[in-house]
Amino acid sequence: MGGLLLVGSLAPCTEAQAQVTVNGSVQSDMMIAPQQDDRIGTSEYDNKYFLTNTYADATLQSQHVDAGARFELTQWPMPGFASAPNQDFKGWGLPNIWVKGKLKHVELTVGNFYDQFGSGFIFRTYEERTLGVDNSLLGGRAVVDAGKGIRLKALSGVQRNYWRLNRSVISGLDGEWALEEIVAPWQQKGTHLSLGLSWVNKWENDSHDPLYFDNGNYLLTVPEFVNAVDARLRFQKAGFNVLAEYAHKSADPNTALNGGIYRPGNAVMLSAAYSKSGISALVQAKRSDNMAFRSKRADSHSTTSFINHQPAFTLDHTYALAAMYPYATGTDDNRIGEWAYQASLAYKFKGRFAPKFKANYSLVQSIDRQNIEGSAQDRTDGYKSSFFKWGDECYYQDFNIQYEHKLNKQWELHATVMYQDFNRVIQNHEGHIKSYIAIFEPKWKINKKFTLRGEAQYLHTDHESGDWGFGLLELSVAPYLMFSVSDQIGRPESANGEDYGDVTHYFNFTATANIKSHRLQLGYGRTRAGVNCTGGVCRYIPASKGFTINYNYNF
Amino acid sequence: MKHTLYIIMAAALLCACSDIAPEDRLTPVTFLPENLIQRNVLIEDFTGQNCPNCPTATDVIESLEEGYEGYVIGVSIHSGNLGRGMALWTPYGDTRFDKIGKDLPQPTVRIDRTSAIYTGGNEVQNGLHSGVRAQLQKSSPITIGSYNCEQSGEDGKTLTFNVKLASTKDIDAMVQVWIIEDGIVSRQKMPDGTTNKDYEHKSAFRATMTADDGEPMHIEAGHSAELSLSYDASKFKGITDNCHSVVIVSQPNDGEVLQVAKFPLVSK
Repeated sequence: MGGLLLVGSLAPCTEAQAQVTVNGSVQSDMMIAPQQDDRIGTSEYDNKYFLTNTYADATLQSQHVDAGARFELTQWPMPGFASAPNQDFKGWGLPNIWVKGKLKHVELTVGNFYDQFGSGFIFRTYEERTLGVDNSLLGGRAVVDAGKGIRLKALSGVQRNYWRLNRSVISGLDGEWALEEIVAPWQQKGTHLSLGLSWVNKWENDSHDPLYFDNGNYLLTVPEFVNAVDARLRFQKAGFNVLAEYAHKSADPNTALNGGIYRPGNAVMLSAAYSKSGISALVQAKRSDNMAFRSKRADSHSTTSFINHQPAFTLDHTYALAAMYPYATGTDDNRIGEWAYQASLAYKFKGRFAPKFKANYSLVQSIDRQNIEGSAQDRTDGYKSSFFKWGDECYYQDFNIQYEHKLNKQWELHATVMYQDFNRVIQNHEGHIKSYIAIFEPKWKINKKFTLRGEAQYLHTDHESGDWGFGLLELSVAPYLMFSVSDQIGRPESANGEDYGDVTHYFNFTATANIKSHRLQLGYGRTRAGVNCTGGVCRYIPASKGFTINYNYNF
Repeated sequence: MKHTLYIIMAAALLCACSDIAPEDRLTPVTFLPENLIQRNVLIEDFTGQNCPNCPTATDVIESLEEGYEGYVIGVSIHSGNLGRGMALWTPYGDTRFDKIGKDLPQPTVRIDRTSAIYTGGNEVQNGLHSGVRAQLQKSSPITIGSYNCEQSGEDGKTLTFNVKLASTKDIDAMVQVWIIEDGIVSRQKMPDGTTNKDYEHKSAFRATMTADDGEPMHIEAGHSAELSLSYDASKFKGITDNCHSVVIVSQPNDGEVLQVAKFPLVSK
């Protein structure tokens, strides 16, 4: 982080010294001379010599003004980010620039910004580079600390869609009131109660993107304004935490998301958590119905133009085989709503070398849906749905028990056993893949310099996709270096999702160096075709093979 | 509290403004009047039996064929990752699909081999009508005058056909003659993820009776030109009334389609 000290003569109103700090980062993922490999089903790369997703951002911070900008180079993107014919990810330039003014109770931002209202049911803009997601708004935002625990936000802008801006205008208001600020006894007793209320409006003139209904026999008259509201309550006392939230969206016909129906959308969520020394528990339930919300109706890509975010109530697994069949929140007419449940319990025995257990269960079920039949006009109402009733499809189920144990100063063990039921409708295929997964991860601190970590994973299923195995060895050489070798073995899925190839090895070698603020990783190997998911949002990654370089620098 | 009340009132007011009465939601799509139609249009639908979004595109194309009867000719070319390995896939279909791009999603629909390409069921539904409407209004120098095809040889498996073309200007063109077939009952993956084993496939590409890229023809302005060829149809299980031929006249080097017509495969 760099620093710049401005002496008082440049600030005539005060003798105080004004300090401007500069920080930023560089992140570059590169692939050199990507190779074709028929065994794993590689397809044509955007460039046969060099591929990269590179980001460089810098931020200036001072007492009253912050500013920032980000440069992106994605003209020859890494595999899976610009699959034909959607080449919109390709480009380079400064897609993110902003200035923020900070006064005592007001913060004003002009330029690109990210924000979220509540849990994101009606508004969430964010950046997730692994998914190629950046749906920032370009416009203005004001945040006001109105006192007595009240914070207000107002924002308006147009949404980024790769290297363009969608035509619609998104505006919103958000208010949060921390009631304990006005009830002194609550503060003293550590009781927190906050109320939140949000409203988002999308203004989209449909003349540029006509939508059709009933196989193109009718032109849809779509509302120019779509409104969404969200109300929430959060209670926290000691280790106990409860969140209740409800969101509603007005009629928003969209042929890609809901088949062009005028049924409003809604979401409701209830979450309760408890934690105390050594023990934690979480129970959550959520029902969403037609809540996907886009700033461009005609956009049918899986990760672009979303104004909101529908959180997935499933665990984001990091182990390779546990993450092979990840859950993705539905964003089309086939999975227009869901009931989702999650429960977890963690317990750590007392003692420095005591084990910790964690159990987690997730279930995602379709909602009841009775399609309205009859004339095309009748069918624009979409369907009826009984609130508490489940539909016939179980989309995803996952029960896992994790064991963590630091045995002594040298040895540490992690183990997981898991049952997973993955409905292939998530991938637009039929059938379920039900699997049992076992993971064993020992870690041996050999001495102060060397640490050796291993992973052994096995997935068993009766599905024709067959069993999978994974092994990894990783050697850390303190303080700078790390080397790893891994192999994932199984039958790759064909491009049509109906067949499976011969048993194939997906090997990988990496060498990583961490020196001060720099991190450099070199790698070579095969990448299996699959999906990469974060928080229920997924991107398809095609098979690839070659040399990779990943560089990160923070300053 | 006052601020919160204002937000609630404003939100309720704005929510009310966006309602559209059921009778105002749909406007029937009108088809071009016949006097504005200047040509026939070819729709190549790169589809597959494992493609769940393809039936949506197929329905849109059939709706256009019905609305523009005789002027819009759709051909379902089973190809690509979601067609390969299935009964209706052909290697030639993959060759045609690769000309647009590698590993494209399906369905991919193209109008008259122009840049009007639509991918995905929704894009086809929302874009194909206006694309076809625009293309129908473009004039064409080519007229496909006549087509005649007779069966001969052992079991009638030799098809001898003759196509006559006329042009209003001197033109070098490529002529392809394809066989398509209706009424094929075979499995098809549906948008809801299920598989319909009794799906009736229409206008499925079966074979080309000309060379892969077509036969070159030079047509002089104000004159007609004739193409006569024989085709060995012995690989066909049976030539029925469900079989049709599609005559495609296009610019060389896989250029834009100039004219297209559809006839019964064997002339009566």
